[in-house]
Amino acid sequence: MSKWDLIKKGIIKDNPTFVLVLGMCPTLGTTTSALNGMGMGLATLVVLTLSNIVISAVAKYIPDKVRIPSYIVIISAFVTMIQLLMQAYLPSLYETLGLFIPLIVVNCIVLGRAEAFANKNSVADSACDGLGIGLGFTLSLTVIGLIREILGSGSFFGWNFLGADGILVFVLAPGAFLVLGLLMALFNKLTAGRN
Amino acid sequence: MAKMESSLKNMLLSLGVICLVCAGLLAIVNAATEKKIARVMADKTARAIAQVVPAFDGAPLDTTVVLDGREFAVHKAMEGDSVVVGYAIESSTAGFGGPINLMVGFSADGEIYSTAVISHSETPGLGAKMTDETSRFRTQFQGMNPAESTLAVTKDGGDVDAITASTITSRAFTAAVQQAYNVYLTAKGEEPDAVSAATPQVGEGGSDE
Repeated sequence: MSKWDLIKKGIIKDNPTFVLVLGMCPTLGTTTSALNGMGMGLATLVVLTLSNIVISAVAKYIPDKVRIPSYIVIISAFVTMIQLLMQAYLPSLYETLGLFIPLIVVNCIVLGRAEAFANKNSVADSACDGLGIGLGFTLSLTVIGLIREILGSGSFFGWNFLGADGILVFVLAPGAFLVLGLLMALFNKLTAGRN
Repeated sequence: MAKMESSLKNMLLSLGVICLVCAGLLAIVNAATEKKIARVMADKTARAIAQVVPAFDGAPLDTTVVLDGREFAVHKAMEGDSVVVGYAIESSTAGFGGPINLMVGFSADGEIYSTAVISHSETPGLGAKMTDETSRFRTQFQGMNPAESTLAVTKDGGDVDAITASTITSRAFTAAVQQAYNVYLTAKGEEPDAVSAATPQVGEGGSDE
């Protein structure tokens, strides 16, 4: 499989949100606006790509019985680094995402890719896989956030076009489930004939 | 190359090395960002102070006041060396989604000059509307004198108009302002306002917001 196919696979065929249905907690929690969703997606993308690279590089030196704790230590080190860097250089984004950044450690997508892909593939392939899945996650979260923001707050990437409030339920938790479910149905309908 | 065998020695060695390397990297990143993070936080406080008190010279004088066993940060805005033009007081109460941290500014004569939200976790589109500084809810506090008005939402018999559908947030915000006023009185060496000092019941009912 070429590198490009690996990236494309993460966005469409193995889309983490709409196909694998992994990492639902940040998906539902952070997508109150398009920018929040995108920020969360990008933070996960960085962690996922870095952890995939490192795990694929060291996998053969890690005995099988301690692989899960080893992966978790590596992943949490990256997450903590990202958290400190965000706090220092992107304080406003850090404030909105605050609680969800440390939770990337336990995001099933990151550990899932380490276990399912990175520990048996080359460094370059794992980097592409991380990038693809990360992009898939970012795009999904941005779209969910965008739809919730347009319907719920009447704004588009923070720009209020309605001059009033939207349909409140879409900003709240039930709206997250509604949008996610409908988008999942749509996504699977559109991609049905492809594989 | 074949996988490492899961012997005790191998497991201890690999986990030990991974932990050491990760700890080392974290120490480096922490050292590199520590100062910058402290500066970002200090800038944020400084901006909030400047927003809630009248114009002042130089740096505010930072003190703390202990009230009911809690410590509050009080920033005195000075003009010259002796004239106090305002007090900026940090207070916090439990909101709908978590703590609401405010910076409340008082002018020298005891009126609320302005308020600023430092951090909160209220619901977007509902309670989070309290962060809109031009809203009627926020502007009503400016120029209010807590000695003459009752700091409680109208539903509870006070003089503060709550945000529609966000009574819990409005109550918590108002309670935080009252708390700051009590700290202000203590800081000025007067007794807290006993009548309206009772904290409204935050989180009860739960039917609204």
